[in-house]
Amino acid sequence: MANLQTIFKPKQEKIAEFNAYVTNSIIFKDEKGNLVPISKSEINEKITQVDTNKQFNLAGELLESAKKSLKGQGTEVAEVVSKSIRLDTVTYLKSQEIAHKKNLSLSDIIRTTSIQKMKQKLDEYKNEPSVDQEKVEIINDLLKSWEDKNSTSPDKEYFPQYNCTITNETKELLSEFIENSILDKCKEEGIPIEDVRDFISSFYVDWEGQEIFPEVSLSFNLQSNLFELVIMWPNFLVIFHRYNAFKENIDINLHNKLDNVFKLNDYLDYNEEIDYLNYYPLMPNTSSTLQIENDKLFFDGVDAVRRDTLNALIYEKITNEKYADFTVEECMKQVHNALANNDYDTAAQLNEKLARFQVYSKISSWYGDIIASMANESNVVTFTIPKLLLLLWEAAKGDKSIQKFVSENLQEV
Amino acid sequence: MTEGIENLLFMQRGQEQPQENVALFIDHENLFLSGRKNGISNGYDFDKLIKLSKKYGRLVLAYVFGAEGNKRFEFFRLGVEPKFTPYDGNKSLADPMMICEILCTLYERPEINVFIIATSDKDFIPVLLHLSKNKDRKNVIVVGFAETAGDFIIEVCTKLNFNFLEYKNICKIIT
Repeated sequence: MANLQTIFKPKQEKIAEFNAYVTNSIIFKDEKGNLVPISKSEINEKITQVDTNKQFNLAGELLESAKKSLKGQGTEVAEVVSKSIRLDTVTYLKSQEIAHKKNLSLSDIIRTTSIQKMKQKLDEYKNEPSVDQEKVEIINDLLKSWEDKNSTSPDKEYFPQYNCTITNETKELLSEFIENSILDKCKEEGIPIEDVRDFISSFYVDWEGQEIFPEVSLSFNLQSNLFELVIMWPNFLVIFHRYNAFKENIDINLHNKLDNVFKLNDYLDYNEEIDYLNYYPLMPNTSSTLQIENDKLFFDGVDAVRRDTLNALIYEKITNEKYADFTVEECMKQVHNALANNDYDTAAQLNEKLARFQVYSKISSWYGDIIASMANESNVVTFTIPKLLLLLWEAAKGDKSIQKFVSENLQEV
Repeated sequence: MTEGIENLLFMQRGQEQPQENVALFIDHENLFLSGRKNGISNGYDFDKLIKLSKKYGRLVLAYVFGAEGNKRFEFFRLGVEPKFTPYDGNKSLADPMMICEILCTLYERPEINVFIIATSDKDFIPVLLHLSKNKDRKNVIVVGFAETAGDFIIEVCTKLNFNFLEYKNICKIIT
């Protein structure tokens, strides 16, 4: 038999409430602000005592609590409430992983993983002389029903949507990236890129001034046991009539090749009225895996907080080139040498390489920012619970943070 | 034991006479089907809803929507007025009619300060939101089956500081 706590710090309000419920007490706030449950039989005596000491405000508070407890309809046993808790990304993803493996919803995971601790807490109140055992029995019944509650499918829940902002500078960088990709593809097809370079910016919808958002989606793959993260670039829209006008100005033999660059033959359902074509083919592959190990978030095996390594990995993903293979200093030296030899062609080519490296590095850094911010974000999980059990849940949690309590419970799964 | 629990839970109330005016609205079809889904062969016991309402004060009006045939007489006998709800063999107008009646009561009967809405249907969420915005703060209690109702309606009730009562547990405190 454990001795029940008789005095509670202000932040232990919920535990005090639970104690008060099972001991048929009301909560009294002492001069230090601590919470003290006093039994209903002692309440009149206490009010008289504080009144005699001329502590009229305190007496008023006590009377208010007593009135509240007397006026209840006694329906608290039937009350069901919802509780929202905020979890950091690692704990949230851990819950998601277990939820998907067990085919349960997140709220079910919180429920099923809390029950053991709640039972243990309730056991502390059993056989305690000051505790109303009928109330313990009521809570025990509620706990049993809650444990046996039908589970809901995880499909009924949504994965969080991570929205990230995009600055004008980033919009320009992404446009440059896409333009470069188009030029590279033109080169491969044997189209003179000088012609395309001058016109390219006229036949797509400029992102500047537009509210565009890259979409970040996260899902769990049961086969690989990994989370899949996809960061969708904003839509790149080609204005078809301008594209056609440009095409009229180039060699007719290049028309098919240009269409190949934009994969126009694939757009059989092109709608002339809309006149825009979504341009996807040259978007970089931005899907990757997320994994949790030792409470850390790993992006394709790289710790998300190690930004240099993360940015390098992203650079390699979007360019298909080794990040370490390019040295800015070395390239600049070559530019200077070429200039010294008046070799402007080589200098221009090298300079373009430098410009591209700068653009791709900045894009990688922006992408890295999104992943790093995901690692620092938090998500809300909501579950429903009988009101009296919520008091027990809070009592079982004790002084621990919600984060720690949930995280510990998950570890025991 | 049930009696013991009931005594225990209500002993604090003493002999005080309830002061509030209560209106009860029953979504019969929803409660009946939800009760069946929850393993209660006769769906639910409307007598318990009436007894529950009386715990909150004086039951001033009580309406049932969607009750048919003999059931309507049983309700009438207990003081619950069955409302005619057109049904075309496919869809009943019970829900919108109940919503209208709740709103009429809200505006035409200002003396009613406790609204008991017996349903597990999330279609009633807009009317709950509306009740929460009323200048005279009304006490709203939703009675239903938590598992059928889903988390959404319970979440709304919690946020609006209304009570959601699980019907199955009401049976434990009201005999």
